[in-house]
Amino acid sequence: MASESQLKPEQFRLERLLRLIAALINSPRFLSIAELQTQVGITKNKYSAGYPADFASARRAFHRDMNELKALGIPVISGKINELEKDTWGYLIRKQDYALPEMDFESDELAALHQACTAVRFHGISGAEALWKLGGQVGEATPTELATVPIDPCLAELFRAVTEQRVLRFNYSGQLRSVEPWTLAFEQGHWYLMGYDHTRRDKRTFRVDRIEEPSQNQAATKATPKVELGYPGGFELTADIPGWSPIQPWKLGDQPEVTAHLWVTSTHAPTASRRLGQTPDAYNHDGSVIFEVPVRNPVAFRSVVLEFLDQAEILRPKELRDDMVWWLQEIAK
Amino acid sequence: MSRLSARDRLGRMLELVPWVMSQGAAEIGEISQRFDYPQDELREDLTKVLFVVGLYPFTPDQLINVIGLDTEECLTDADEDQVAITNADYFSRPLRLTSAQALSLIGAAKALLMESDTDGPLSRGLKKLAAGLDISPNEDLEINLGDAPPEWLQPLRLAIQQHKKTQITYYSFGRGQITERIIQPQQIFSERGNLYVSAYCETAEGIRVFLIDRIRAVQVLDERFAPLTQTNPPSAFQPRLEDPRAVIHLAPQASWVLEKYPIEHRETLPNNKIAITMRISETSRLERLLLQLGAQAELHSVEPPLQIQIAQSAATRVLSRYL
Repeated sequence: MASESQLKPEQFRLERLLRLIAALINSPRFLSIAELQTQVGITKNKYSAGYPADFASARRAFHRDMNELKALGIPVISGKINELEKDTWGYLIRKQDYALPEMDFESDELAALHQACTAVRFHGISGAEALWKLGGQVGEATPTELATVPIDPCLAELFRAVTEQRVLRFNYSGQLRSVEPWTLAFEQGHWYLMGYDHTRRDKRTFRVDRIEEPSQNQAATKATPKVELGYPGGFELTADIPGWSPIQPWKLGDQPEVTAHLWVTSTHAPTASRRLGQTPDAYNHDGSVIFEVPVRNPVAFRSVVLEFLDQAEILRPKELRDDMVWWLQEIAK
Repeated sequence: MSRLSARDRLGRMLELVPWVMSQGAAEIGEISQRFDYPQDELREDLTKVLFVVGLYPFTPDQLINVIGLDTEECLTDADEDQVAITNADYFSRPLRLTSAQALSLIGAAKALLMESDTDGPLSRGLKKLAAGLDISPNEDLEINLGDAPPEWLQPLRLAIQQHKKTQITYYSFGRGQITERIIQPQQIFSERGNLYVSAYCETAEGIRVFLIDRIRAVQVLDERFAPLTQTNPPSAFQPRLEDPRAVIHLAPQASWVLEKYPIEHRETLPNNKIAITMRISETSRLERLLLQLGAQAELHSVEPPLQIQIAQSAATRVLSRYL
């Protein structure tokens, strides 16, 4: 073996961290810091890895190591060791918490995932680190990035709640909600959470960035996170749960549904089709089209129609047409 | 790359060890590339660090075996750059993905997946990933980077990769006309829920940003262009020097405008209204905003001043459809 004195401090640290993880994974029971000090090894001098001989220093070094493990997402659990005369705190990694399930990717699949996560990045999340776990970065990164998706600090927790069917509790519009989360969606530059709201007893869609901090009353009792997760499998997914549908404010309202006939010029027909999420219901000879749009929120409908300025016109019903005329006359005054 | 910290090394080491073990043996150059680990550092960390990692009491039978490279043991009939790792069962599986990592991988794959591509490598990779993580990729997550016809995205990405000039038919809302342009596409990007392509426009002789939703036809030409070295990340709202500045007074309930449009300056007025300053690169954008807001917005001033009362004239123009 080559002389260890050539190693850099971060390499000694790496050695200590690897030994620590090996000891924690291999143990069938919680290990105290003193036991870990022995099992990882004690430094003889600054040219060797391990914990300091002095226990107080070793404990500080151990807690610094735990921060590194936490930063990498290594699941260390802790608990009391009762075998000793007085209770001592101990640490352990359970193999089933640690290991990635078997997936066995082909290299073209890894290359495609590599391309995907270099094209679409999630702000602050390293796609490379995720790929290492699947077997490394294969092939070329995509030469041009397509998008950086903004993320909210609680987004990963929300995703966990969706995938593990955990009931969520959070504050929204000044009210504490208890929600069975079904879908997390990114649309028009924002994140949304859709699910069943126990508090309102109905399906609801929440803007993730409008989830509120816990109120002072709630926070006073304990350190409350912004979103609280229940147990995995806390609710059942039934077959009648609706899939995600794009945010269409004109369909979300308390008024009885009316069908609006909207005329759009030929130049704007393709854009209107995507904006409204439906294909035209009639085509005119000049290329202009007519959409039959279900409307439950007339104000939101007026707003989307005005995106097209003079390239669209509400044909009927009369109330919606008259409302538009009244609105525009007020502005034109 | 800057100097690798202990955490950088640990994160890589915990994932490359399982991969090398699953392969039997691997070539150091490939490990270095897959795990973004500079080869010299990797060689040293394998032969001098991992080599002495093991379980208490660190007798040889308890240490991880690193075979090959310049360790004492050599792989039989393999070249010196091959390495194998044994006696490390506890490191034989990679670490599980964090929720954030799972979200980013599934999200990126979903965002790029074309509906037609059911059997391509991305689709297969996503399926394996979802099955392994016990996630339903269709129900749990939805990613929409912007309304855009998928049939334009593919040729535009191709043109960007191969530096090919491209002819587009584009509908300009501001001018209300359809134009044919030759562009040198630079980058596709998503901003505030829309997909854009930035390009050098040969017709306009300058860098322009096109909303992909308003492209009506794309034809990739054979002629190549010399790629530009782009310094600034593209933005759909890049104001030009000559663009007027508008000051708008918004009622408090119209504050959604603040997140939908880039604002240069904002200020809350004594009457609780919000005064915003924004650059107007397209008059139609301002018209739309003022018509949507009605009495909730008041166009306070425009610098340099416009000749017309913009909200009134736009309202009159739209009204002429109805009356």
